[in-house]
Amino acid sequence: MTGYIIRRLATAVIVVLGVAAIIFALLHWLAPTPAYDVLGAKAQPAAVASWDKLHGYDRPEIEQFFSYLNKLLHLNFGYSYKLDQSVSALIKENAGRSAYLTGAALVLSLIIAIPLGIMQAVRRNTIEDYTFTTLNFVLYSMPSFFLGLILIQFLALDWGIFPPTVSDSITSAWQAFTHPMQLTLPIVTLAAINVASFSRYMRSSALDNLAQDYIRLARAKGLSERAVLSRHLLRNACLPMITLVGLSIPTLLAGNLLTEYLFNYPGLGLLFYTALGNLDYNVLLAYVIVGAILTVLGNLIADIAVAAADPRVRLD
Amino acid sequence: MTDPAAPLIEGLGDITGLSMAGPDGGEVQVIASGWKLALREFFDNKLAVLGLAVIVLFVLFCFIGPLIHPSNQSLVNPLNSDQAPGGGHALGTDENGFDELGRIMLGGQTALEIGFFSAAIATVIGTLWGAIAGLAGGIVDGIMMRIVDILLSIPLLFIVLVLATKYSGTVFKLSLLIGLWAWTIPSRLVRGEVLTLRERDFISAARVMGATRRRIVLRHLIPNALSVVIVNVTFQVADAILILAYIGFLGFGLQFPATSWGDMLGGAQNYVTEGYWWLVYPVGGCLVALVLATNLVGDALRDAFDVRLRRRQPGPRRCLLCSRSTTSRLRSSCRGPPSRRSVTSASASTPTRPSGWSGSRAAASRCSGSRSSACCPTAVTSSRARSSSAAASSSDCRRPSCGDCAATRWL
Repeated sequence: MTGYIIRRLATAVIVVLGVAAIIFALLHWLAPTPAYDVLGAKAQPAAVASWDKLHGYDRPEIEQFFSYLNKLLHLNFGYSYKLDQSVSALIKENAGRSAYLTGAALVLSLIIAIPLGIMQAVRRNTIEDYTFTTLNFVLYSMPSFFLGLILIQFLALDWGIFPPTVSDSITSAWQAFTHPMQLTLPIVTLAAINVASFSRYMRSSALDNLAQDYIRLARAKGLSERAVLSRHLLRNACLPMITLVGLSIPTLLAGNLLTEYLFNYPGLGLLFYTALGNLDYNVLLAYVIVGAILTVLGNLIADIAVAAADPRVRLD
Repeated sequence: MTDPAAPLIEGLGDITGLSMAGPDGGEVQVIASGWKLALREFFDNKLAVLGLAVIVLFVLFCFIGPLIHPSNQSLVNPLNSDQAPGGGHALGTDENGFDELGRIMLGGQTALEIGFFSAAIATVIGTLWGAIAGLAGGIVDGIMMRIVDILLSIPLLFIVLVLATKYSGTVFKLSLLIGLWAWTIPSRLVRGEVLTLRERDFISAARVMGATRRRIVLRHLIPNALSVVIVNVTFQVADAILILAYIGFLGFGLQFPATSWGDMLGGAQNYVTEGYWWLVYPVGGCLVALVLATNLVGDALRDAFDVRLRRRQPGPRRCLLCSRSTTSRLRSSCRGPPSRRSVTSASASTPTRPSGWSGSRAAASRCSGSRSSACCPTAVTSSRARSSSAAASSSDCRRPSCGDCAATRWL
């Protein structure tokens, strides 16, 4: 187990280094020097050259790459000249709100998807099963912003239950938590995408387990159906969900971007969107690398968690 | 075919050596090539045919439609903007005064073009990359697949958006942008397929018979790995159309007056607030319908190509447990393992094949209701196959769930 973790960690480090190299290359290609942002778009070439020399942008690429890596290690993601703030400060400022939105959506989708999947497996090939499977498949094929638009149309504009966009007064994750009405629509939008894929996996995982001998044994012992499902089936059927949650991080980040844009909720996604408009490549590529690191971490943690939770998984 | 117990008896004969009538598992009649069998299997699936029909309809609608319903899509006409449906505009007009129905056709053209073109790019690169890695093996394979790992961990939507700030605007550029970042999944699938195929007996047999390396690759490896590729193409198309919609919605899609469905939904928040429903729901509906249809076709293709799920001969199939014949149209009388539920309620009888994609996808969908090894021989292999890998190799995986290739969604 320890050996496995060490090996996985080493792979993860290599992958992150590779990602950093790609991001550095892109940064270098898309925005070789921030001099024009600082000195203005019409700066004289001589002024740009001297600015580059002063700030080390004239060094060989490989040297710049190592100083970039060194900065990354110290969680220094560069400086946003457009917003006149360091990127790490911007990320730190917005991360809490995004984490709340994404975390709440993830929890909500699990709370819905796990019982739904088990229900579908138990009542397999009935009307309910077909209905939910169809619904899931439609949701799966639906861009998240379109679902958000439908929710805004009906729940916000037609029936007026929730506000169509998040109010500007929500400035922290805590405020978002204490004003649940404000964030209901974004959270539901983000959760719905995941429910679609999670419950499909959950259904098939529950189907696999329902056919196993231990379920038959539990029933033969005379346990109630409720006890069989909640005590025996649930824990085993949830094992693949651990991996799935670890793998859903890119989806969550993408959903986060679209939901925050749609509902105008200030988080990392909206920060990214603003940076897209500003061509603020330091912010953009910093967020991409954060996303990649989160993805790698998610896979790593999920793999280790599965190994810890499932004694049948042999690591070698 | 007449004696219901024939397969069992033949199977016994094989074990005891009394009969050499055929391989265990029943009589195999070679009646068609694998491709024909797969095609028949595909067209047996009603949802797949529906999906295919929807795609064909969309192609006709988008490319032939403008000939039947010509509309001005280049000259902005502010006097005619945001008209409700009616009066010569079946779906009203948008904020530039363009006919919305004609606009949907135009947006559909680009969505289809970019979807197929970027899928083609991703598939060609991914197939070559994966095949070379799988065939080369060793350190070359290691390096090539680590590169894939690195690219896979970069969230696709984000990197494409970053590049779209500079390289966007035309169908060609957007296809290239999506295709060049989306080839990692097919490369992993093809590599996995090549690795397993390399060790298969028929390849060894060909080698022993003196086939050249070139013949083995061209005649044996590629045709056998092709099914994985074909299945993946459909999912690539669906995902590319979705990514394009996201890019367009965020405002980094095609250059005006060219448009895609995502671009058309770019101002949708305002349309919804203003009550311009005709600018939101027809486009969104088309988007969902096309992606849904493509996903349906992909799911059906995967089932059709999955040899383990395939019927060996046309006509009734029979359950190995009770030897009762079934047809694909009828619910099976096989009840799976005697569970408590099936004893107490007759309604728990499990069809051999769930209608359409609702069953377990990747494996054993013939008998997905019970997934019992007693009823369905493929169920055993499928549930055992995913042991050590911590990947999400659930049998409900959207793509063929290679134990190595964990990623199933890659936005």
